[in-house]
Amino acid sequence: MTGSPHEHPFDVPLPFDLRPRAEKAVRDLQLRQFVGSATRGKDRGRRDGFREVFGDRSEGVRTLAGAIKQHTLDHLDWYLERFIEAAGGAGVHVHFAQDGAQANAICLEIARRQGCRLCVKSKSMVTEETELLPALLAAGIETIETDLGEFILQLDHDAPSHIVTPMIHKDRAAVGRAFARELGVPYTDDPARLTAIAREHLREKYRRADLGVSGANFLVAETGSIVICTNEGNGRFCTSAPRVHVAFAGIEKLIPGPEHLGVMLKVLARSSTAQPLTCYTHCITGPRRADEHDGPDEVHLILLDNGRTEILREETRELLRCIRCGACLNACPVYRRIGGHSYGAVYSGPIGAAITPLLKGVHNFPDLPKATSLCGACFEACPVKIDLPRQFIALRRRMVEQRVTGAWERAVFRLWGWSLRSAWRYRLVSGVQRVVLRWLGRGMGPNDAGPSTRRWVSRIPGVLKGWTGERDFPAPASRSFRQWWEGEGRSER
Amino acid sequence: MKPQAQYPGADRAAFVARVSGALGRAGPTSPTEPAPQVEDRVARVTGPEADLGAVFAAQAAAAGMTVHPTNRAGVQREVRAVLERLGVRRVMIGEGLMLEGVAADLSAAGLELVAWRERGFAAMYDADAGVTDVQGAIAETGTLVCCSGPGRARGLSLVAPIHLAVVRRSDIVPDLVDLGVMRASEAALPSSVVLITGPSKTADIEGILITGVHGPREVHVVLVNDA
Ligand code: SF4
Repeated sequence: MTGSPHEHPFDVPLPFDLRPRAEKAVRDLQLRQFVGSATRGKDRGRRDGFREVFGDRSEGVRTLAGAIKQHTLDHLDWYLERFIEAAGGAGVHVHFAQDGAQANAICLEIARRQGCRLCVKSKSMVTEETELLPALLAAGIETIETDLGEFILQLDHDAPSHIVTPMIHKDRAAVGRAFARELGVPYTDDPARLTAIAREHLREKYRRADLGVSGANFLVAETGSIVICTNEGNGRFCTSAPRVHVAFAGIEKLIPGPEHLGVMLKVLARSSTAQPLTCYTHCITGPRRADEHDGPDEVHLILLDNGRTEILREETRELLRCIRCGACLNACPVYRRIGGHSYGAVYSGPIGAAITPLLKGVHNFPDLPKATSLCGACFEACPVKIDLPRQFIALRRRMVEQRVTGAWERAVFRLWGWSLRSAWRYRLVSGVQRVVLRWLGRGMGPNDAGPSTRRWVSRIPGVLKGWTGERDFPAPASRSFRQWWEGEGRSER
Repeated sequence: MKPQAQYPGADRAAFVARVSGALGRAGPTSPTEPAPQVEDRVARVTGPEADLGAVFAAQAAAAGMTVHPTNRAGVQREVRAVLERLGVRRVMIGEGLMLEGVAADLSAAGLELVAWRERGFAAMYDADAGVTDVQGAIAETGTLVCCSGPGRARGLSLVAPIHLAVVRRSDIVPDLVDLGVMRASEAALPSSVVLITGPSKTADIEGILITGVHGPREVHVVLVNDA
């Protein structure tokens, strides 16, 4: 399986080359089977859940969820101000980070001032994005990922490969080995036993932890609340047991009011894990109050931009509606085969393929906008109706404009465009193409062949060799349809 | 709030200005159109006309909780019966109208009461069960709404392997979209509101469902018919 110890899958040389990883993943039959069956199961569960509960209102509720997010984004500066006021009023310290390094620096400064030594962390894609874990460790703060999947990945020095089910690529034997090696327990591959071992181990950490770090699923502007959805309960421990809680959130997490929260909750868990609601939906509005018995003394929220304001510009704005449910990953025929690590970044699948190039530069991730068949399965699955195929096409246009697309590719398409401008040009280009391809396919089929027999090209040289790398390419017939039509075709009618 | 300038990071005005810039305007202005209306016809799954007790009980069971119906007079008996059946020895009990007399009854039955008020979480790790009331429940999803406050610690519904919640029929609202209504009726939003829908669970290892990862392995609901 992917990820040998000590080699972080997202420390990739740029520009990132998807192919070697995808090829390796595609050849890993066990990985494909896991990821394939897990994603298909979740995809089916999502569709069944929506049909059962909303019936023919499914479209309507997704449209509403999308409209809520879009409205908030369209007025994001205003809602940010409202949120900051409300959260501040509830006693939350709100911080502002332009990039990941700033966000981490803020968190370290909080830890330093509070004298925090042991940090328990719940699952958060944003902290993966800012690479908080290595920053905390480097500062000498013992830090434990507490989501079971993330805990296992941390033990195994591996990285998440799915935004909801991070260790979708690992089997129980790998977990058993990691536990035996790193925790010194006898090997077992019984998931219940493994979970119990993790529970005991992590409880010890909760007892001693003085810093809890979490992400956020939603920020409610009107009330200043931080909403965190989890199933395991580790998120509740991390935000309740230590005396300091630091939440990280991208600015796109805002929604206007609590009435909108209900709608977003209705679509999130159903799209994500086919549950009506996650086990715990935790709504935090400020630190422990004077008359309370437990909870953190301080709550900090770090609002992160890190390239989001660039995406907020008109054309790509809808991408920020994303609620990280993972439904588009589960629905995607490409993700199902190549898995999350092939995308070379924290966010994988269709949404990752769309936002990674925007966050990190299209020239750094030129393969991602092409890692799609444009089939539209992601669009259909998305609970906030992000038109991902349209975004991929826009990204490809941007790649051409920014000259990220190779010279050869541009030349080929320019020729193609030229040839489509009149009948004679088309005839000329397709004639040349036919002659060349049939010549390349010589010796692989009868020479005299009529329109129905095929020659096969097993190797096209140069820039097009990718076409024949994995399969033969059918050469065109000896005559074009036009030629046949003008000869006997017409009379055969 | 402490002065922000002492922390690293951007300054608030500059941070928001960047967002305004991306939206193509000079600064935050209030939205010209109202936020989308949450209309019942679009979003509501369960209406007030439904048999809320029955819908809640069915959904709670589907989420993996065990429901024990009783009436007002039967609360103490039912709570004790459930805890005894589960072999609970050390129990922590929250405050609430429905929980009056429960502590005395359990103590008389020989269960040890965990003193959690002063020590918070630290005292809770050794408990076998936590008993709470709820500040609401949602029929649509079979959800318990637990708020923090005096006598209502966060850890009571989280730390022990068993959580027992006493829910009155009159606590139940029909649908998630009624959450907003619930808030409007409270003076100030509690610092912690948690919606609980089933026992703590994970499917991280090969998609196999396991309960009791960090939080309770079992959630029992004593459902009181107070209609
Ligand atoms: S793009 Fe849509 S489907 Fe994909 S993770 Fe985001 S919200 Fe879910």
